[in-house]
Amino acid sequence: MNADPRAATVLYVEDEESDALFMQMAFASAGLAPALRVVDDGRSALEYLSGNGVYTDRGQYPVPTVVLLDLNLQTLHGFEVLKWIRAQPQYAALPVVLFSSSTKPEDRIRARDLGATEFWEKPSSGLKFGAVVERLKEKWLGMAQAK
Amino acid sequence: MSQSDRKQAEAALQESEERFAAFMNHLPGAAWIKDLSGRYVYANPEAQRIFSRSLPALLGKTDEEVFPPETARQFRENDHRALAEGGSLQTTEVLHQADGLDHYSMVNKFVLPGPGGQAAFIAGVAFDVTERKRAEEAVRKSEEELREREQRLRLALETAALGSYERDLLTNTVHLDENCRAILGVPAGRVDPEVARKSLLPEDVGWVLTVVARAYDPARREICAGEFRIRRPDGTIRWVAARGRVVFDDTVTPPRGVKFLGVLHDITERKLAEQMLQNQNRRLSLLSQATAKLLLAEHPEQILADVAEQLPECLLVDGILELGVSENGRELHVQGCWGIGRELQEHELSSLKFGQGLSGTVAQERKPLILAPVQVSAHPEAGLLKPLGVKAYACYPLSVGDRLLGTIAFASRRRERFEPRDLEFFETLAGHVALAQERGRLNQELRRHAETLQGTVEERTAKLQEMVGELEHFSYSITHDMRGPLRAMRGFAEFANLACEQDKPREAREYLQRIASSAERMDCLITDALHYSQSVRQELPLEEVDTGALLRGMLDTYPELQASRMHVQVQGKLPVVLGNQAGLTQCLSNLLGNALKFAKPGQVPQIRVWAEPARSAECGVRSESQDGSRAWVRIYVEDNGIGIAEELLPRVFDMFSRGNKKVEGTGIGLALVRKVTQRMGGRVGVESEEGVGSRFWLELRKSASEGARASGREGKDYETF
Repeated sequence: MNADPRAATVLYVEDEESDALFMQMAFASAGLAPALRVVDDGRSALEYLSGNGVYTDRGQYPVPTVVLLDLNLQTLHGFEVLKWIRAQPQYAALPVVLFSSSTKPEDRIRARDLGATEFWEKPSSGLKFGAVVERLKEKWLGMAQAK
Repeated sequence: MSQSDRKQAEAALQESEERFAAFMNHLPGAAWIKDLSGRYVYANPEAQRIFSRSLPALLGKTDEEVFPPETARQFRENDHRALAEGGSLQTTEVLHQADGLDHYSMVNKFVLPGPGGQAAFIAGVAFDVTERKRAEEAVRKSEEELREREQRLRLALETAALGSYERDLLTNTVHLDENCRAILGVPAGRVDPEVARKSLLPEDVGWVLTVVARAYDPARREICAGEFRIRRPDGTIRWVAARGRVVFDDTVTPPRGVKFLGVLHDITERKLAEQMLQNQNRRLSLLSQATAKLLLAEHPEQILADVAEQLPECLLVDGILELGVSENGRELHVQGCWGIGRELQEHELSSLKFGQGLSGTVAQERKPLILAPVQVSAHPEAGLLKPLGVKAYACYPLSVGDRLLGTIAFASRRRERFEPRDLEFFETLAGHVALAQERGRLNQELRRHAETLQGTVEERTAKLQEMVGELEHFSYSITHDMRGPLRAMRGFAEFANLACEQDKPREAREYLQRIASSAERMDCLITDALHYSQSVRQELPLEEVDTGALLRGMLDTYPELQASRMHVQVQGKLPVVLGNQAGLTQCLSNLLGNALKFAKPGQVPQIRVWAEPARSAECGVRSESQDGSRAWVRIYVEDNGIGIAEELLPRVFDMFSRGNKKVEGTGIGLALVRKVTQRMGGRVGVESEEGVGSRFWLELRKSASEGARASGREGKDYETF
């Protein structure tokens, strides 16, 4: 685990433009803007994780510390992305947080069955994205250790 | 003559007279003497007894003076006859005696000469023969009775058609009386001793001889009896009832059978009557069985098979032909045939107009038609039956109430005619067949209704379930999707607020701009959702739609489809399909709109529209749910836009599936196209290559007139549309 949260990387997979913007603003307010990488669909997420296409430069696109994954993605659904991640040996232990406004219980069950680390409900307001950053920091971005 | 001589002579005379008197007194018969004038001069004691007169009462009296006139005349006549016939007569005389009975006497009358040698007296000697006479009379009487009885017996035998059979077991000869000869058909003359056994039918010999053997057993002495058939020398078969017994000679040990006595009775008529009765009974029971079976039968063929199976053998029916009234009500068609019926079917047409042929005549007149015998029938249509060897024919209308269902005909090659009871049977059967058919038809109709109803219910339930599922998915998706722009609006509003507080108007304006665009997206979502739910709910009655005309109209009037924005090229003639004008307009406008939306940046999209017959293999898959008689056609809309990613293709028609983030869209348009096409009975599909373009297609049924046109030009490609 990284001691400096700024050295950590959060990969946020989100096709809703406004949500991506809110997250960027929240990370910026927390002073962690450099730690956030956003891709806008499932296929791009796979390319990022495997370091293909435009994501070959690991300096610019580091292997993520944690993946924040929206469910309702075009091209490749969130669950498909999760399945793919868990099928990669090097990502077997990669924390993947499903980040969705879905309230369907079956989505949570499916997420658990497919190996999601956590299931977070998307905040109903853009301002509340700050709380998401706090939780990320606490759990995976090394701040807990620093305390 | 000397004294002594005289004395001697007198003594001798006296002695002689005494001897005569003693002799007469002991004679067990009556003796008497009358002089020529008929006066009694002598009567011995027996004569006095039987005449019931004392001697003094007799002497010197004539018969007339002593006896009743009848008796006296009888005596006198016999006396005269004796005199006339030369002195002697033997006769029988009747005398009513004191015991009140008539006594018969055998009388000898003879003439006694007087001293001159001439006839001087008439004497009589009589013995009572009453006992013998009575015995003789009894014998005569009994003989007479016997004769009479014999005559009566013969009369009885004759009247009862009884024949008598007598077999002498000692001489092994057989005697048959006239009746018996007649029954057995044996000509006059010597009789074969084995005639009885030889008359038996082979299958009867065993049991008959077993029964007869019991009569020969002296311990049993049974009267044997039985009914069996005999075959006369001329080959005819008769039924007889026979009884017989053996007469035994019990004077020898063991007792010996001497005679077999038997009577035969010809019961052929009775047997025939019995058989007829049995047949009648059998007919009745068969009729009831047939009725029961017919009540269970469903199909006309099965009904006929049942009828054929149930027909009594005694009817000797060789063929049945059943015709049903066709749907137009003016023709008959073969519904079932059995036996000669098959040949008839080959001869007659498969369908007959009313009034044509025998069955057609029956159908038109609604009356039975009976041709018997066929061979001499003058009926104009009888000629059809003659070559088939049909001798008797009867055809009946099958009707229920006023409604004619068809006809049924019975034909026989083995019978010259059908008897009234046979015809009655056929008519009853025809009635049952008609009822069974009607019942079967009603059942089928009922079942069809039930099936239709069930099918309709199932179909509607499935549709309803599908619709409910779709709406559920739809409402979940729409609310979920609406939360996106809503969350954005709320978030940007908060940030705009913050920006205002921090006095950053430029930032605030940017956030307000974002709120506005989110609201617009929301509006699009709501509009499309409304369209979609409308398309699910609204009626889409199927009609003939000329897709060519429809598309031309759209290109002329829709501003977004003008040539400046997109170039649409229609290849060949577009078909007339079975669809819905409004539905098809929506589909085509969505597809064209998509082509415009997903054009390559900066390019005026080139769109090609054409039609092709759908491939039969694909039609086959869906033939179970669709009318296979109609051809299917595909209408293609091809663009040269950005195309669709391969992994997205399977979901491209799903609700809220969006192909590209950079292009505005709600993900409802293609879902709508699929929904509407499905509701028009068709289906949709797409082929696409990213960066090259997409080819969407709608598969719909060609209209009936279009189908006819198409089938008339079989083998031509789609260019002929």
